[in-house]
Amino acid sequence: MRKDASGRPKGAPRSFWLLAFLSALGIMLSPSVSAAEDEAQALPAAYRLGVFPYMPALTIDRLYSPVAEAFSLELNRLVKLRTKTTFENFAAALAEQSYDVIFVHPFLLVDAVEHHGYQPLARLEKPMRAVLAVREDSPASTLDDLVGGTIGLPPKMAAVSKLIKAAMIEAGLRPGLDVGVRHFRNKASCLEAVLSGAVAACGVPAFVLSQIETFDRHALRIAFEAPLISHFAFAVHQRVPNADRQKLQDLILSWSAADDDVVRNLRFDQDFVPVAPQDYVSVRAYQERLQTLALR
Amino acid sequence: MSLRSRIAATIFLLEFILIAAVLYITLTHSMESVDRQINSSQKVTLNLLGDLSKAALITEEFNELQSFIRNMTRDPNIKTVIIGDIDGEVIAATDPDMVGDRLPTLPDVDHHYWQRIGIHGASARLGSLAIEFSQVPLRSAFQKTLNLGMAVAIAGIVITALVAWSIGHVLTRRLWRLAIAADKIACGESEARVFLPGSDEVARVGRAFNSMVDRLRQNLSAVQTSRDRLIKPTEAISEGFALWSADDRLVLCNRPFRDIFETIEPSLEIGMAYADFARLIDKNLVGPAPAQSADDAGLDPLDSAREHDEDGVNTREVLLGAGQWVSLCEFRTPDRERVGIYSDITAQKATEETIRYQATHDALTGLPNRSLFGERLADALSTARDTGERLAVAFLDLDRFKLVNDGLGHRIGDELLLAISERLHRSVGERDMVARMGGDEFILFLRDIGNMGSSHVDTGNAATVGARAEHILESMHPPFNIGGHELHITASIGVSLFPEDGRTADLLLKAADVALYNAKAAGRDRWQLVHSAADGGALERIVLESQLRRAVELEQFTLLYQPQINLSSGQLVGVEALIRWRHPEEGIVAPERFITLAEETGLIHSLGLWILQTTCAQHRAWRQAGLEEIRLAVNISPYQLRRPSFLHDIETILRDTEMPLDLLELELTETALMQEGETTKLLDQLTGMGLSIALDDFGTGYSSLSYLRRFPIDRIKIDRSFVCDISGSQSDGALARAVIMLAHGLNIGVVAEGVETAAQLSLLRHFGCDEAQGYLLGEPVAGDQICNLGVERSWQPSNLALAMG
Repeated sequence: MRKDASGRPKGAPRSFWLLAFLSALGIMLSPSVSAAEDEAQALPAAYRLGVFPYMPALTIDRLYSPVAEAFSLELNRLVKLRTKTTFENFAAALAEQSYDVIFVHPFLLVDAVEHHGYQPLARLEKPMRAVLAVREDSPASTLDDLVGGTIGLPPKMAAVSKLIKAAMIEAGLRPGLDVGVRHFRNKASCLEAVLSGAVAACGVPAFVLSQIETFDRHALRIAFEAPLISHFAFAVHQRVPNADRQKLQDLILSWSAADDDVVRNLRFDQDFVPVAPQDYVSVRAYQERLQTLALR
Repeated sequence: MSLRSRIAATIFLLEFILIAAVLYITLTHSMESVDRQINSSQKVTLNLLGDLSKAALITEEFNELQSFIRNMTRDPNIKTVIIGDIDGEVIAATDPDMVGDRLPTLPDVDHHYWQRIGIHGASARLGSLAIEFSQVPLRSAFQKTLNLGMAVAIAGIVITALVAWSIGHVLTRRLWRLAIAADKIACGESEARVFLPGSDEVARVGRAFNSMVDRLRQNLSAVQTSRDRLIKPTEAISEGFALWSADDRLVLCNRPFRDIFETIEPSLEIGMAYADFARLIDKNLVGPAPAQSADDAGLDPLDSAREHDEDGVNTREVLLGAGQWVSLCEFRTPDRERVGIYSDITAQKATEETIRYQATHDALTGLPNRSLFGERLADALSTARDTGERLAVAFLDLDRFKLVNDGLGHRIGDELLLAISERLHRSVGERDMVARMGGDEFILFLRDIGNMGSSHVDTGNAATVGARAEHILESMHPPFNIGGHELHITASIGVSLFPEDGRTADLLLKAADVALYNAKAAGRDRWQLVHSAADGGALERIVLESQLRRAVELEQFTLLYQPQINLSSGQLVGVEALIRWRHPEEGIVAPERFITLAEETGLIHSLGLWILQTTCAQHRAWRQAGLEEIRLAVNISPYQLRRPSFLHDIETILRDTEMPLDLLELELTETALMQEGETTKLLDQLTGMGLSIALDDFGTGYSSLSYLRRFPIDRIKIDRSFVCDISGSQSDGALARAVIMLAHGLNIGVVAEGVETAAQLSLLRHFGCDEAQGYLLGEPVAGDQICNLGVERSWQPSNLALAMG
């Protein structure tokens, strides 16, 4: 996607004005829009921004408080940042639709949109890369090389866990049967287990390997890289009025990773772009495979 | 406090201070440390709970937080924890029942306090945290520390006290022995010694002590020997002698000393304290009273400043109980020893008393004499002035006593006087006094005759005085049986009253004398008051005579000089000397008031010589100042001329003052010329010497022309009474003119007196008067101003004309 001089995606204004026009038309002509407005009138005084707990809660607070603050300024309404201690708890809260705005990984986004009334606003521009890291001296170079061994993964509901498992299924392997799976609470303990030989490989986001500081990164190498999927995304519940949704989307898309402190604070080193309908098709497909595996 | 106690107390005190300081520092440090730990712990707790609460508020998962908080109550320092969200709702608390409630108010109570912090996210406030911390554990810990510290301190103090006492005992044990030995020496055990082994300082002191005792014994023996040697010579003297040591203990005394004080203390022991001796004297003291008691004066009455002379010798005469007079003379030597010399002066005192009695009493009658009477009267008058009491002085003279004396002999006369004095003594009151003046004269003063109610004697006072006088006179009436003779005798009494007749004893006696004279004159056996006997003039005369005598003695006179001007030339040709009395109370007194009295009393002789001497001396001063030719006129009293030595006296004065004879003019009155024989001879002698004679006050007396012919008169002075009316009265003018012509006819010069107006002066010149004097021409001035008159002023004819207007 091309950007203008300020780094803002050039496609955004057109869609923005189109959406704005349709929204305005709908407000004027449709009784249902009026009902939605009535619903908005019943909204609490503050919005709740739910962030998927891919990091400890206090870290989430430090990273995403500027986002909530920016939202508050934009909407002229208090936006409370909220998260959970576990992925499961967050998924439960999401299922209860307790958040007005969410920032989640691709698998939860698909679930939230299809089952819980959320609409995507923007996603990270670059795709998510998940890799299996092995020791430098490991002979493994494919998934098949890992058959009979055990790999370490983040918690079950982490995107990387789902993506690696989906990739294993796609390669004809059965996670937990052909290749043993052991979930760790965090990435560092998982990689430590690789180095200690407790597991043969560890599934992590690719960027993690470049950020490892607690041990010698050169002692590891990438043995397998999962297929790319669309990255984390913001979504908004449909109870939020269109005007606010539009403001939020315009704001998120206006952020520039190069010179905007809010997005730079998130450490993704990339901008947000609008979500297209085909962006999460592959994610939905992986989700279905995992659900099929679970049913078996 | 003993040295041992002081050492122990010092060590104990130092240790006590040290322990107290250590305990204080330890406790303070301990408390600060505990406090820091508590604060640190509280801070950690607050931060930890803050982070946990923040995570719980973000994730809205409060169960774990609630479980965690509930466990925190196990910490004794934490009593309550309450966490609320941003809406003020309790989300977790140590009391689970509070969850869901609104946040309560959190008051501090005893030994508990709240710490509150806000819970903030990265950019927003999330809620609040309140923890109630308890100070009870801290206080309990401190109390335990304090109790332990106190126990340690008490134990330390007890141990320190024991150690201090032990050290004090060890250090002073030998000094104690030394002190016991010294006490024995002090109590007279000269054999006492102390043995202190070792070679330290205390042992050296012990050895020095023993040596000192040995030397002391030797010295005491020497002193005893010296004292024995000293006491022997003192036994030979008649005065009592005693020596008191510097600490006032009797160290030696002789036999007379013991004899003198035997009556008050039979056994005076060596070693007796001087304070006891002084107290003994005071106890037996009859007179004179000491200034202070022995106790008040530091047990040393003889050391009072009153009795010290300049050399520090303390002398006193005391009368002791047995009628014994003792003279005490004491002084201190440079070594502070007291030397006392004591004499029994009882016989000497008796002699002095006899002499004193004889000096103040009449030998025949035993009555007070005039001297003592004067003293007592002066005292009585002083009291009367203060109290307003009236007092009478009586002068009593026996009538015809001379007949008894001459007829029956002096022995009978003396016995009669003795009997009369006894009656007089009985006839007056206790507060009155009778004294013998001498011969048959007695004087009395009588009191209790009333008060000074008015300025004059009232009838009541007079009646009282009269009754007292009559009583005295009547006491004489019964006959006296003396030597077989029945003698009848009466007396006359003159009475003066204080304050009407005088305010001094002398005046009152004189006034009473005058009254006596009048009583005698009026008949015998009478009394007379001054008031009825003499008028005011007589009294004044008496007083004035007294004052005049004193004035002559003290030369309370001054001389003024009035110019005499030649009316033809206007020149100052002479001066008349005029005397004035500078009375100390009345000021300047005119000669008219005292010259006559001076003549009557004979004082005129000495006064006249003083005038002549002074004026001639003044004339010498004028001559030395350049006034060579000025004539000096001096008034001479007729009484002076009658004095045989007058001529000799005047010659002496003229010689002594080198007075030019032709410049001295004697002014005489007509009265002086009345005794023709002697006066003529005297005037011839005076004129023969070169003196000139002026006839003063011419015209006021006989104005006998024969005087002008018989006596060598050089000048006559027309009296001021004629000059006064010379211009207003035709007759006076004619008389003046006639006198001038007559005098000129006899070749006698004329001086007009009392010229006060220009008209008078003009007429006198017209009549041919030679000279004049008066206020117009010059008032009397002091002698030193005459020089100025002679030099600066001129009575030239033109000036005189000007003066005449």
